[in-house]
Amino acid sequence: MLELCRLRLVQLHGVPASATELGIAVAPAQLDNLADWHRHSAFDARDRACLAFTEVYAADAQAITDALADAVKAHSGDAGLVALIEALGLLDGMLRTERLWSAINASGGDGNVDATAR
Amino acid sequence: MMRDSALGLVPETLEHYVALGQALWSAGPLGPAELEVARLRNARRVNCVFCKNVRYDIALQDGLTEARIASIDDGYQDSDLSERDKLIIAWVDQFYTSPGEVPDALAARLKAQFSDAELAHLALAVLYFSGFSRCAVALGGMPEELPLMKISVPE
Repeated sequence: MLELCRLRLVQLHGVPASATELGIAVAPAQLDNLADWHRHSAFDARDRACLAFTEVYAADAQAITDALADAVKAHSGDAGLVALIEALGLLDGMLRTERLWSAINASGGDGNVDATAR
Repeated sequence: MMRDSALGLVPETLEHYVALGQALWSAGPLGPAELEVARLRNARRVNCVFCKNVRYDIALQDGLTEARIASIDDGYQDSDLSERDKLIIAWVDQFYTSPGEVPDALAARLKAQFSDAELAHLALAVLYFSGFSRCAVALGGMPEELPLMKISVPE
């Protein structure tokens, strides 16, 4: 589930990333239709609850409604919701950091940030 | 305090969260006052009421004042903040607004003011602050106002 959410964040950020870089398998039908998760049959109610939550989280955590949170809790419990939020913080933050670091390194300013510091 | 929050529902991850926070605040080239500038700017961007009203004691001991904190707001570019503080704020803003499109002038100023190790420390700290504050916001139940609270880094 977390890998599905991570891959959706990757799509939302518009960055190239491998679906296999973490070695976590995702069903090919889900991988091929992730952008269309709202209506594709490869996604069940739990998937949709988590992906809907992920999309709003990435845009603005303040915009998360009780209904979005309740939908996740209905399938994963209170602890599942907390675990998802913690994971999204890390995954979305890593994507933003990666993009920021790469952009600074690629800029025409003086010197390069040491790529090995990544 | 973190263990008493909703984060305590997942102890398997909480201990790692706490350990990362301790490492970021106690080690690395940036001092607590500069880290607090990043944390407070992040709190404003995310609008985490709790985060905005917390002051870490080690940052105050490191010289952070309420006058300096008051400048960590929109219009900070024209404030009396140091160039380093202004760049820390700019990093946080860039993280949220357009992380993939950093103006060359900003990149050059960052490279001129910070070592590679300092930028890596800042990057990790902002990632951590962002994740933690958005946890608080996403979980909901945030009061509209809170008094200022001086706390220590969670152990």
